[in-house]
Amino acid sequence: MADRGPVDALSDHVAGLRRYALALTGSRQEAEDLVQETLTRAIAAARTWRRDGNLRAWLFAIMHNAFATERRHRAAARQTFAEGEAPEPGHPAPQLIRLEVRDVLSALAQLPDQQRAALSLIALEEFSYAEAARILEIPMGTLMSRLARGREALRRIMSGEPVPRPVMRVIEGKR
Amino acid sequence: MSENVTEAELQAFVDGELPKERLREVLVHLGSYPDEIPRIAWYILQKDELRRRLDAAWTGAHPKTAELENQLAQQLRHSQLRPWLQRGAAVALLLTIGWWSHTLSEEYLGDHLPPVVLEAAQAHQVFADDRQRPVELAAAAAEDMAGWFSSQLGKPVRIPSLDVVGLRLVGGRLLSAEDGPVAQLIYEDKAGRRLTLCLSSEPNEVGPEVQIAEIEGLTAGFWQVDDLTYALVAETTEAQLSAIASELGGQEEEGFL
Repeated sequence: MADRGPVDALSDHVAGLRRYALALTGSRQEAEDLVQETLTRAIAAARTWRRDGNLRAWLFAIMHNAFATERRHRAAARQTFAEGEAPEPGHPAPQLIRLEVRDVLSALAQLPDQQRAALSLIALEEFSYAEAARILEIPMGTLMSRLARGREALRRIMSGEPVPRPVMRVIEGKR
Repeated sequence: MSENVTEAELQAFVDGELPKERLREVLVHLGSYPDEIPRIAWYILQKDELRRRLDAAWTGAHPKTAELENQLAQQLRHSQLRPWLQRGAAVALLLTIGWWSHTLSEEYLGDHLPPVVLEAAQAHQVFADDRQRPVELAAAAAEDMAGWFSSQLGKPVRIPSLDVVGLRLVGGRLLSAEDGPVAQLIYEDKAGRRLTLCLSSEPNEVGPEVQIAEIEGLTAGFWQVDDLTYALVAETTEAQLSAIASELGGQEEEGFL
């Protein structure tokens, strides 16, 4: 069938969504929940997807919005419930997850949400700059600065170098 | 020379987004500042490493995720069956009355049909014909619906009553057209025939006169009042649709649910 193309790659896109969700949330359980929420929203909005549109970018944009909503709810819930009831985001149960994964997740968890999102879309999922800017609904310049800061901060964290605060100081091209 | 290379260009070099004509400059820059090379190399290696490590977190698919993925695939394939509204829809249009039949030109036959009209026609096909699919907002909650639509469209929206022409409100839902949110209302006559009314607050050039278009066997009427564009769609005659449109037009001051 000539129409098969875009939808047949859906499994690959879902694998990408899981990676992105894991990078964003730092926990497999939360990542799975976020993927499911994203797919549920996508099912409801399936008609709005144009067949000549970019299915992968469309799904990631939905996930971006779902994550933003979830974060707002979480922030609200944090104010409602006493501390210690729920595990902090970005700190998955260590015994359940392989060391190399835990390291990268805990490094990612140290980045601000916005930098982590920009970096993950580009470095992890290899979206083009234009696509990533569209998904995150930010101007290209903002994307570039979040990418550069996030990338350098992650490098320093994972190489055990101190990360100066604010992180933006680091990125000046030359040392 | 290498002072001209920006951090953004170094990032673009890492991500393969650097324009070819800048490649030489960037390489010269890295040659002049070899201290930079480990950092840039790390960025490049980081890409594969991140993906490899995060992929290692998973063992097999979650059953509920797999089920949702299947459902989505079905929905997307279903939406592919209606390509006529997605591209070149205007080719299938017959504009029959209203001011623009006089000025009908290539220009208007092109992309100028407001997205809300296409969305209304598509929504009518998908939702109004499908009795099994529940409405998201029941007619009983007309006031809540009006409040919600108003907040989503950013303009005061009232829910029109079409009792006078024998149509009762079934319910509504919020959709999204190419240019923004669309409120969909579904009405039904005694015989169970349905009519879709969509409202959009996106700016366009529609104007206050009712224009009628025929889209794939459906009749659509659309017009604009106070920054709101109305699009009516039903499987009916032009005359009947015009009558309903006039009824709606007469409701500016009264007759809302």
